[in-house]
Amino acid sequence: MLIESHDPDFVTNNLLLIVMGKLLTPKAAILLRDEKSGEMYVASSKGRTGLAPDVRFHCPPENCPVDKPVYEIDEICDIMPEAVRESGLKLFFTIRTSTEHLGYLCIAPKIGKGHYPAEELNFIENLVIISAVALSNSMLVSRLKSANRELDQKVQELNTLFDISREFNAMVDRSQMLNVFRFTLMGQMFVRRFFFLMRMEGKPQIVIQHGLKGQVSNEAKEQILNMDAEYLEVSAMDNPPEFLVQNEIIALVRVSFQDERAVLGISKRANNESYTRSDYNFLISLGNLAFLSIQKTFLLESRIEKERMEEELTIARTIQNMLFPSPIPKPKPFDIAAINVPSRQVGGDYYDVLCADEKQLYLAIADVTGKGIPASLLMANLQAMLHVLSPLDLDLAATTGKINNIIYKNTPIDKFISFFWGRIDLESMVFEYCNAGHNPPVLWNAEKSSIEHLSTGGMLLGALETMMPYESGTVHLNRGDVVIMFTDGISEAMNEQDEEFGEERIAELLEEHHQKTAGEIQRIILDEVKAFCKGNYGDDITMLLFKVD
Amino acid sequence: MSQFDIYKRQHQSVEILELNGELDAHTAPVLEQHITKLIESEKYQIVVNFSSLEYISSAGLGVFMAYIEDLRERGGDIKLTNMKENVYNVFDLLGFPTLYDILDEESQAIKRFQNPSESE
Repeated sequence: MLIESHDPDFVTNNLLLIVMGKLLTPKAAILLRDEKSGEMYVASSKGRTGLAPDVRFHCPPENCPVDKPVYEIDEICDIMPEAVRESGLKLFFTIRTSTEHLGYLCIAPKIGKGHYPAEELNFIENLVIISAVALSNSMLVSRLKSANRELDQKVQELNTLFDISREFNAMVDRSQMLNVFRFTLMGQMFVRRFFFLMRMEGKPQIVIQHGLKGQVSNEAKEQILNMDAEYLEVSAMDNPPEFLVQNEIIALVRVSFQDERAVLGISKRANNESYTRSDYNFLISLGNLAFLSIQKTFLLESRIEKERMEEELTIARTIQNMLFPSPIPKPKPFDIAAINVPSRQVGGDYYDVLCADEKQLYLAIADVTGKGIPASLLMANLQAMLHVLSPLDLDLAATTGKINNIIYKNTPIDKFISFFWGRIDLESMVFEYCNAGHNPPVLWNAEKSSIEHLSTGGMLLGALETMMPYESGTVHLNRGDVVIMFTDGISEAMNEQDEEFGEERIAELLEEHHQKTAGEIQRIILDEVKAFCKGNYGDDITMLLFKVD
Repeated sequence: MSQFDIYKRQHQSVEILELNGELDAHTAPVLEQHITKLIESEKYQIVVNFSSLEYISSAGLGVFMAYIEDLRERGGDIKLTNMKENVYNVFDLLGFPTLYDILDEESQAIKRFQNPSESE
């Protein structure tokens, strides 16, 4: 029966009972070596030995005598602790197999007389030999059982990681994700309190927790986030934040990705078992998984936001395109060409050609400081004003002053508009213009075969309220005259030597090609600019030119 | 995706949740909803019958962990019954039998709620 049993307790218990019955000894005990710690412990004791079941003592195997089948207490007392020496146990039978020493069977002297007859001792010696085999086997079986259980726990951990990662992959909602994380952590670790701290938008925040009470200061959060070790027990911290102690958080686990980090804090387990190295490894894996998945949701959100912005910009671009004249009015005898290429989706450059009635033709070009959406809003503002004002046949210079006052009120002090506009009387062919701080348009005077610059006007729009009235200039247009209006995206296009294309070059090109059509001249200038800056336009590019045929 | 259903029954003051299918990270929130609803309607005596539950993951166990304290503080409990062996093994592996009443039969759990003095 002893040999068949796989339960060490059953074996030790029965061995003691048989020995005590046979020898009529009032006390007996079995000391075994604990395989994990290497210590000897009281596996079982009967009678009044005074040995508590938790008596353990250090006793290295090399100090344990094992050669004789049985030792007197005097021979062995130097390795035994006081509790055993005073237990009244006198004889120590060596429990060993052919390969390992398991421990000792200890018995007190016989009731009444002191000595055991030799045949009784022989019997016990034999019994101990048989029991040693049974004990060794049963210990092996329990070792296997415990190894099996550890294996099962590992498999369970892997299943859990698999389960949660599959779920995280399918999720985009952060709160759902955190909830699943909460359940998985509490279920797997058997904990009732925990928190997960990470930096969100620069601030340390507890993204999910369970069972915590009280407030956490930002200092405490920073202190926790800055922990050095990969994991640590709160009891080992020099100065643990009150919040951890109060909530019985006993362990912290750190996870990090690139420069970002998060800390998982957990309370003791509901069954009071401590955390092993293997548990910490699991927590690090789980924490990493949660951390990355949560970050993924932020990235996803910012991508969605970016896509939404891009979509809005595309719509804005469409709207802005409609603010430019299309088709461009071309009352006789004018040949007109224009182009606008914003460097971003929307831009701050503007040109317009308005032919309110058969008598007048308005031409305008403007450049708002800056680029993108802020500039495009001002550009739209200016466009609306011109469309309202141009049919009214107002005084050009005075109207420019009024526009300046409106723009001045509408804009922050660092936003200006350089603006040039002009009005051609289609009967008299008089071109009256006003230049508010814009790059002077270039005129080819066909009669004189010379270049002129149209710079009469005043200051930039939006810089100051109008104090000095704007002036207007007048040009009498003749057949063959060409006027090129452009923004600084053309004149200030840079080559690799950081040189500007320059207004001079535009004038030279005009001089050379004035006999060509408006479209051809525009093409030539654009090609030159493109070749000059190798396509790296730094700014919005706009050009408006007309020729008198 | 995993199949999971909950059937709700009542036996006097005791609420019985019968779980069907697979309780994992995906379906755990469903169980959570049921339990929070019971707590909101002040039903604190809950028996969970696992007879038709085929599989449970740690996330499933976590739901029980999350509400047990709450329920016991209000004088209630969650008792677990009729587990298949593979399901019980997970509870056992993770240490749950030390904290939860895990019983063979639903009727035993109901009896314990009705006569708390007789239990153990």
